[in-house]
Amino acid sequence: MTVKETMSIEDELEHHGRVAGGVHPGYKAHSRARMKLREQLRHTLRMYRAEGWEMPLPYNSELTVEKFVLGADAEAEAVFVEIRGKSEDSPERYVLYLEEGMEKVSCEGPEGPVEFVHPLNMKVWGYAATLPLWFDWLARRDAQNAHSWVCTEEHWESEDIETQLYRVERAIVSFDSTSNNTANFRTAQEFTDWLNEAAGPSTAQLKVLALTDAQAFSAGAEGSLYCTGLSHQAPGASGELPGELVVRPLEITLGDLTQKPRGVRSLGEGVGDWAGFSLVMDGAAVEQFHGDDMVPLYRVQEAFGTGEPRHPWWGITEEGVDSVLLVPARKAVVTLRYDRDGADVWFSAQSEDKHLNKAWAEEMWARRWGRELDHTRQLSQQEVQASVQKAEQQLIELHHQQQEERKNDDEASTGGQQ
Amino acid sequence: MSTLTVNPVKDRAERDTGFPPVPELGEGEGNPRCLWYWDVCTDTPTKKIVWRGKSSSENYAETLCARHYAVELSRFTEVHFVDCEGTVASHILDFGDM
Ligand SMILES: [Zn+2]
Ligand SMILES: [Zn+2]
Repeated sequence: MTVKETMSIEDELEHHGRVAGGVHPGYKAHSRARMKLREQLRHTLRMYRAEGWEMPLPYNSELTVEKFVLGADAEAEAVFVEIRGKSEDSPERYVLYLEEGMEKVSCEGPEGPVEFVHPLNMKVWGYAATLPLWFDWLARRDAQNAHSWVCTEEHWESEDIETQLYRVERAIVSFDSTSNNTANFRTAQEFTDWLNEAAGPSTAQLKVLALTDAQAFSAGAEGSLYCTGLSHQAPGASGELPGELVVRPLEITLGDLTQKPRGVRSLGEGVGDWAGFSLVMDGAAVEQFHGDDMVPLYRVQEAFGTGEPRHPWWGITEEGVDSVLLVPARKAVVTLRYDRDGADVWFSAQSEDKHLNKAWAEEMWARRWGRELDHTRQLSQQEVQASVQKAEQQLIELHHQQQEERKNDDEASTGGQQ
Repeated sequence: MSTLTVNPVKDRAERDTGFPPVPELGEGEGNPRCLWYWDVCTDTPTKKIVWRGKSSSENYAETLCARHYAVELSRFTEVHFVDCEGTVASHILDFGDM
């Protein structure tokens, strides 16, 4: 990648002012186009920053709208930006190409073109995203890179005997949680490989099957068994939202079968639209297994193959566990989480929309409370005290608000009876 | 990328995420160390959040250092109700100094 000469907004304004006396008419026209583009750029980013989403920047990010600079060649519609790199003395340089205005922008970094993965629903978008989305991506990367300057590998994170003993003595265990969008997987093997990578040190052997024969699945599972499905209901009908993950009799969820839903129920009290199972491993063996809405595998084995699914469903199972969970191959986010060095494993699937709401709230919370969450940062007693006060106040306010709502609901229902 | 924790409290994770239960875990009162589990915190707990269990015998006191207490409370307020029909009162019995 060739790096072109760049000029900051301020430099350029000054430069423009100097030549504005009419000495370089060619430059004037050239500059006007640049100014217009710059205006547009700043406007788009400001919109996004200020009114658009009203969202805080990622904690510790130093990226600002002003750091985006135009390339020297106005025709190229290339925007340069420098963010902090993995080490303090090597910043990372990115070029954004405005292919179709601010809506279709591609990004090239030190390692070539960057593939955009939506940070909340984990969907791989390919190489084009909107300018605000790249701004946010760069802001997050800037913060992450800077974090790695101060957060060096902790002394307990190695696998030598001494460190292992240190961990055992202090009951330090590893845990992690990784999410992906099922639309990103083409074959059962791809999905299986991701699951086992996400399971880290765990001895669990998760396996993905591709649904190739919906009839065989229905026949094997029969109407009495339930599985999870994405609702195609119109809003309001039976309380479901379109695209919501629901549980229903198997025969209506599969392939070409389009009978009317019956007996739709939610996934369990207080759980929401969510499906999953958990494992407790003892060495290589499964010690405990818990899963709802799963189908005995032996009854539906012939319905599955190993390549690409012929119906938009994956079957998730664990070696040695004769149960399979159907997971939609579209519009679903799956999460693999482990704890206790992989002895506990949870697999879950959620509809993309539901996941997005939660992930959004979580991300905004992490940005607002980033300072308190940053373990590399010492806080003074006064700072901690202020955080405690703020958190308690928020909780109390929410409590009062909920009480008020409840009171109003009660009054409304008593009023209705009169 | 993995993270490390001390004595993870599993029933908490279940409450927050709806993950199916993994039995016989959880530490509770009497633990000398802050129960924050995202990263290692060696601070002594000074604050508590008493979570309501399904029955009174399942009520559970989460003991935390002041900083992680603030973080934990704020996460509950700002994130939990996105997909929970319950209320503050249906989840928390008591909070504040230990
Ligand atoms: Zn703590
Ligand atoms: Zn709840």
